[in-house]
Amino acid sequence: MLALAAQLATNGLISGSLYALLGVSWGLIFATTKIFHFAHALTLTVAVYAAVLAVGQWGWGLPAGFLLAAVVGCLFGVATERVVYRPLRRVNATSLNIFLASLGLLIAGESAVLIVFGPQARDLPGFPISGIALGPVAFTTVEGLWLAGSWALLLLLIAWLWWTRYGRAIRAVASNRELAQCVGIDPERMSLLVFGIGSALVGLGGMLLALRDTVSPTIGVQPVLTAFIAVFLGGIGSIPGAVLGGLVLGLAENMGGLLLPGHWQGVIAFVVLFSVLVFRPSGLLGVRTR
Amino acid sequence: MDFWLHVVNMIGLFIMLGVSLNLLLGYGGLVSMAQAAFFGVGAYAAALSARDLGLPFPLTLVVAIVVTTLLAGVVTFPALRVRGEYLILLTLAFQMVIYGLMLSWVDLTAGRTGISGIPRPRLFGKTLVTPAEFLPLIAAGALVTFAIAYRIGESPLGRVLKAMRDDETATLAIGKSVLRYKVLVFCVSGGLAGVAAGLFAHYQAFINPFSFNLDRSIFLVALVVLGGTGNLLGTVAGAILFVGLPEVLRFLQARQDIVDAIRNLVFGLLLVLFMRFRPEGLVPEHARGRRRQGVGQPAPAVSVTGILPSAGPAHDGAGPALVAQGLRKSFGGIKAADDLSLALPRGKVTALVGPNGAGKTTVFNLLTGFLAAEAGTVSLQGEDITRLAPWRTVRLGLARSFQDVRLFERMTVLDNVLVALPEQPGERLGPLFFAPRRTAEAERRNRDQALGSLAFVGLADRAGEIASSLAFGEQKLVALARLIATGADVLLLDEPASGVDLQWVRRILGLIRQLAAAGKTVCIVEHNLEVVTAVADHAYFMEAGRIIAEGRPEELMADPRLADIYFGTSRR
Amino acid sequence: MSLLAVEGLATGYAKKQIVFGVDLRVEAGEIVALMGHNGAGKTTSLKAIAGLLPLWSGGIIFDGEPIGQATSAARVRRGLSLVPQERFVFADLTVADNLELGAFSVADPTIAAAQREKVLTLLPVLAERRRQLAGTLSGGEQRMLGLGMALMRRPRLLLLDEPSLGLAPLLVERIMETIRDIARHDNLTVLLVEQNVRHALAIAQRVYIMRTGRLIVEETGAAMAARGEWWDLF
Repeated sequence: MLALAAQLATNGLISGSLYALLGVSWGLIFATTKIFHFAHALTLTVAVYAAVLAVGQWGWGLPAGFLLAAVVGCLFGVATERVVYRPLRRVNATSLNIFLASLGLLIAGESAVLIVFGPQARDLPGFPISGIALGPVAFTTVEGLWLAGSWALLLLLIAWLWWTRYGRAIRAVASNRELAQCVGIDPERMSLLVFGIGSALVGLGGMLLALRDTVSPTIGVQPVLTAFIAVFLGGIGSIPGAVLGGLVLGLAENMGGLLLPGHWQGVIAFVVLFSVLVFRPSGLLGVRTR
Repeated sequence: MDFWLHVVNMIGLFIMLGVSLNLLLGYGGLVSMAQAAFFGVGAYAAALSARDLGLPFPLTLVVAIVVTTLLAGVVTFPALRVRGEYLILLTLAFQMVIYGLMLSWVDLTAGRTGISGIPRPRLFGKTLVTPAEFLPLIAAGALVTFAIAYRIGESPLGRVLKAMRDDETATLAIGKSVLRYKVLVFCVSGGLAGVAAGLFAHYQAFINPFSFNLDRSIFLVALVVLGGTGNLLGTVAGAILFVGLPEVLRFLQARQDIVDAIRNLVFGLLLVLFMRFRPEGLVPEHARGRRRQGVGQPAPAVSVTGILPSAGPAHDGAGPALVAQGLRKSFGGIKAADDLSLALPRGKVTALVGPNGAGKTTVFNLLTGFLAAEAGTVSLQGEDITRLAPWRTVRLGLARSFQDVRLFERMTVLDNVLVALPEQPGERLGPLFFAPRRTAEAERRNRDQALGSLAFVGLADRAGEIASSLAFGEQKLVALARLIATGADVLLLDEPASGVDLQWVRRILGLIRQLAAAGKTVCIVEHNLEVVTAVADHAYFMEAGRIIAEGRPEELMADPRLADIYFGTSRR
Repeated sequence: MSLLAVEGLATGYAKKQIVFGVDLRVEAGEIVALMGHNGAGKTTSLKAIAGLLPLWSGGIIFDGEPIGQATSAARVRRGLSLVPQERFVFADLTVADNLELGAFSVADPTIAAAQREKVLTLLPVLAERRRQLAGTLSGGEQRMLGLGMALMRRPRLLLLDEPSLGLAPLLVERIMETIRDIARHDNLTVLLVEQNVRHALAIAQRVYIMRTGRLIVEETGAAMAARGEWWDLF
């Protein structure tokens, strides 16, 4: 029983780390721009497809594939902000309408990927999978990479946000957009920046996922839903909150297996979210109420 | 032939689903990403009750409707507290929970396999199997669903929903329980989706979770938005265009999944483009020909007393109409109200004056229940109203206006006033459907009353215009007409003259005097002491959450101590 | 030549016009007060001057250059700096971060560091609280921080929106003195929106009064003060 709990906790920590990365990738954009960027799922799909194509068909190495996913994700996210969202802001579109446009972009984009690449599932080849045993717990090399990769990226991002000029500027826009303008920060440029960074991160997160799961045109939706949950769990506007939210979510999903029958497994995440929204709408680390 | 009839049937089902969602989204302003989940739960309820319990057809439909209505009621409770992004996420989570259960609760739903062998319905001794045989049933279902939704949407009830959509706080301030209407619209929307669900299960004779996934919910939201929110005809047009037309693609002899993908591609792009260039959708809420209300009707002759409905019994007793005692409220260490007591004498205009940040608006919020006081009591006509919700205080005869007017911006001027009238039978489902004559008569009377209110403030000729298109001064007058329409005897006006030109100020002040002369008890918060002098009989002077002086406005202005507080003291 | 010259300024929010053609000018080294009752359009005018709201018509000339179409960031770089009426600190960031952000537009880190020393000497309370979140400071301290942030970027024209709002009388006095001292020592020009008439008159050389989006009075501070009471104007 104890060994099982330890194993489940490890599994929870592993998936929780990836959720944290996904959560932060979306939460950074949401906190700074207040755009409910549903099409983040499409960014993930596009980035991973580009990499799968490069690695699987053109014979690129896996590290190059990761790099490509980050670059493609970044460019795609920036393009989305420039081509779709900025024109909508210019005409004072409501946040609901911006959300709907994001939905539209997601539907259209997924369909385009399907038309071009077909519905069949693909694999991301080239990663040596084997088991690692560490005392009472065991995990695969893929999971090891999830853990290491997610935390490396998370810590890098947090360090950048806290200790650099532009990182600080982004936190400023997230905290108080008008005052940020008053001190001479251009929020439009910061929007581009967070779309670039968040989208690169979700591309990398998608690659980590693709090491384990097969890749299909709708691969992006489930992880991005998870990201929403992590962000709202932790409290919108708080990057550490999104990390915590991701971890809590991963742990809850896996530890829930101890208490709940099997068919609840897939819905635990949403049940957790439901409860948090009902009992603590501002999230675990949320500061802003309203 | 059967293929085309099938397409028509699918359009019928999507009309039902779209209409049910439009009530929620377009009228109530509540975004739901879970309409497919309700649809699915209803379908499973009908399928299981028909196959496993052996219930006959019309009963299974009733089961589907009851189940979806109840489920909607349950979901509403967490949803009541949230709006905007949170509501999107909450309904998204609900959609995923339901979909997850459909897939994994194999004992009940058979998982991915789905439920087959759903009995074909028998109606009038005939078993319905082919699309042609189903067509009359589905057409009837669509018609009834549309009629119900239309009846609700275009009634006083629909008007309250739109008010709630445009501004929840202002809806509370005209005495409508936002809570009640949210539960109501969620339940109605769920129930209407249940109609489609019951018919769908029998029509297909087979269901599995994939018809009820997130994509379907997204598709429904998109359909309603593209068709036009707040206009049910738009939803019909949307269903025909976006469910029907893509079927033409099938003749390209392409593979099914490619056909679907092309349809979704076009659909998604349209959604993006519409949000940019035509956010109101194909058929806008205020399409031409729908803006006739009140326009061209002669304004009724206006006498002040004639347009002043009274919510409760006339209170002509002695003593002040409203008394507050010992109110306290602080925000993070700043005392916004500090042992504050005041009384509003009946039929008089009282003013609350003082420098910015003295806590005047907070007092209004405490009196009307928008803020809960930490201590103290408020009584209206001798009755304790301290802990009441804002909408209840309005029903008891105490209403307030807002500094920033808070009109229902997407509604017409007339509807802005009309919606505020109390006790409208058409706001409840019972009279709306079962006492149509009483409802219609009340609506006629109310319309005259609202036009009267508008005529009183001099805006009867603008009745048909959209509220947001009016100049700010006119909006203030509409807000005043709306306040009068609540029928409250005690009116709290928050800076009625701020931000408007002098000519409007004079007009507004004149109207306030007339209201007092007609017996209303008025209290104004005002920064401008000239305004106060011109209109108020009595004034309280506030500073830092306390009342530090009271008297006639001229007396207060003559007090050098108050001038010091107002303009600041300085030692040069 | 005036440091700031505003001509026919018209602006508002979304579709709602608030300001209808305001002309005003501020000479270098002057402290000018913009007053008027609630909803008169003072804050809206300041926001338009700072570039937070678009100009609907009219022009803004700063130091001889038209800046009406420039972004707010470009205006800050030119030396025009607004301290808003509410939410004038980044509440969930530390005091130190707030000060750094105040100097965001200053590209040269050595200048920023020198300026930080100066501000911390001027407002010593901020030095004690560098590690604290700005939102946990008292109202008066937050005002000081807001002012300190603006000074970090060495502005030439400071736009202050009701710096005394919500402060106890003693603190109002202090903040006004601080503003006057800064203006004197650093040859700073100030355009001040203020409700507290006597305080404003105590430090302002000239006064504009607005009503419903238009200017109704322009006077010297002394002439204004000589009236003794102003019930008719507010």
